[in-house]
Amino acid sequence: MPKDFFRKSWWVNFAIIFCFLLLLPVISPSFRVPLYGKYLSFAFVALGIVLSWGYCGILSLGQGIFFGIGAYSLAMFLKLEASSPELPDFMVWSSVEQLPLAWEPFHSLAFTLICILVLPVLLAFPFTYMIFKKRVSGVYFSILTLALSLTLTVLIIGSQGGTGGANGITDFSTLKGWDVASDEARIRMYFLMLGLLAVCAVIVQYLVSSRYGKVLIAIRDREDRVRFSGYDTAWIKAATLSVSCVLASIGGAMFVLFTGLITPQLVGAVASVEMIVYAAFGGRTSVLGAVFAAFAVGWLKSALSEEFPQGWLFFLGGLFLLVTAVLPQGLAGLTGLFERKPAKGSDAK
Amino acid sequence: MSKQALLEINDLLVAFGGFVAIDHVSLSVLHGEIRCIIGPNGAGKTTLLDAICGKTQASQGSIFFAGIRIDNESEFKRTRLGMGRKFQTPSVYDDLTVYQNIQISVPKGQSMLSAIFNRDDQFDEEIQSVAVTSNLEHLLTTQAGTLSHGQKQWLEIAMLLVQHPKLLLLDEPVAGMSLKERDQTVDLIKRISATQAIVVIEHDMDFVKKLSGNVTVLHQGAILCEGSIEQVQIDPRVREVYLGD
Repeated sequence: MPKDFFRKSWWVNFAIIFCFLLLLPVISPSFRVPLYGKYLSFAFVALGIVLSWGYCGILSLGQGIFFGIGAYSLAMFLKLEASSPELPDFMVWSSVEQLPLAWEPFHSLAFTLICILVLPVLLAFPFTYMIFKKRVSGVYFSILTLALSLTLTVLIIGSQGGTGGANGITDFSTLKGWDVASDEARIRMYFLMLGLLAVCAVIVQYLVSSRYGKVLIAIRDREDRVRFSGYDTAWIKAATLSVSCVLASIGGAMFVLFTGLITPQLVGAVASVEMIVYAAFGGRTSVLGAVFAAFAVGWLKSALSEEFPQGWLFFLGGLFLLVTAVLPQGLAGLTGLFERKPAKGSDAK
Repeated sequence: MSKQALLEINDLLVAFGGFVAIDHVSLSVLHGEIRCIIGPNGAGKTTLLDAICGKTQASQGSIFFAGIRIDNESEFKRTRLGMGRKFQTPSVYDDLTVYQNIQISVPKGQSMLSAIFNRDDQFDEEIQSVAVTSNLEHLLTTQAGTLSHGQKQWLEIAMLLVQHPKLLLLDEPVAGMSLKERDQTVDLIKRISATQAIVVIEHDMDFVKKLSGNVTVLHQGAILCEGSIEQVQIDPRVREVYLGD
């Protein structure tokens, strides 16, 4: 067991943040709960970005793709349940007469869950391993992933009959007969999700504090040296990014559970960049920062747009500028001010 | 091949576009040998090391290491066969401590599963002993980014030593060191050479003399002459191109 994993200050912060999140549904009106669920679904994505970008230095602007895989998988399952034995409504509108073959397996919940957890790895690992093997990295990798997420949006919108096109998939409310849109179900789901989020956060924290986490930092800072120390860095990078993609996919599924819809805009390039912002806002090497930032930014978006329906985006943008300018380590840098710091390098990195 | 050399380079050619950086070089290094490679700027010394360790691909010729042909293998595979490379500018991981720098270089921990699940103090003894060998034992908890230039050089050597390589490739190991540090480095290299073969690239003639190994002089990508430092220094061709006489 790595020593860093048992650092007391981390567990104290962990307890504070999760107690706060645990108390939220108790102290706020019930219509807020699905909103909190929505904000926190992005915390999964942000956790993954902390791992792949913050520690391993891979800036993927395609996390929306994997968010989309989780979200669309679950939405397809829920939609089939809502409309069966008929075809889903949007298919009827685009005069599709038979259920597309790709939809068939989504009658099964087990298949859907496997899809959410395994499909991201099957897609991400071989593809990125090839790319990293060819030494494509840095900005070029980011541009590549950005292009892919743009392509995906176009593809989804283009195939109206199979994906619901620009309107996405919506209008479903039961999971195996359980009404997930009721207040009670939502509160229950919120606690379930919080549990899952806590487990994921602990796993990521474990990973980054193990020796493997040190290797990731080494790859981020000097990949060449790591290669000459006998590591297959392409393999490690592809595997790390795959974990990050699975987290994004779980987040996507959670998003669908709480909002009851998924659209191409939510998985596109802009959404992908926004996910990076969560991680940057929280501090890109801070696991708890990512969780907190995903919640805080989501909450701020709602609060500001309620208060200033016209100009709220300016406030949000201004806040991002302020944080990146004043706190290069994100919100996590704030707690660092009060913590006893280990001897740090003279450079500002 | 003659009596099983550790490293055997046959007729190696490295060309970048039309520019020939290494021109039909053949070279062999025996077990336990210290080999110094000298030569004026642009002679191809660093390129030669790059070709040996896999940073640069050979255009022609072959490289055998411990009897295995390696010129088409990837860098990490060559490293796993027992080759360690120190770069010209010391490359250490600035954000990690000296201890962690050495720790992640331990070869036994290189599978990802072991890096995730094993206790992280299982190599403690080994790391301590390597740190003592390379004069870093009092700096283990220091952030590598704050070390002096010379200490970074030692740290990089320590990171290689912990892998127990059969062959060490050192690119200018005393650059930026004080006189005292240079002498300590000479001692360090001599101590290492008891168990490992070492190829050193260096400009500093004093340092090369103190190492008292075999010397190969490179000039414009080709080998000019080989021998002990005394033999090399009186060779008229060497005086002409290198010693500026």
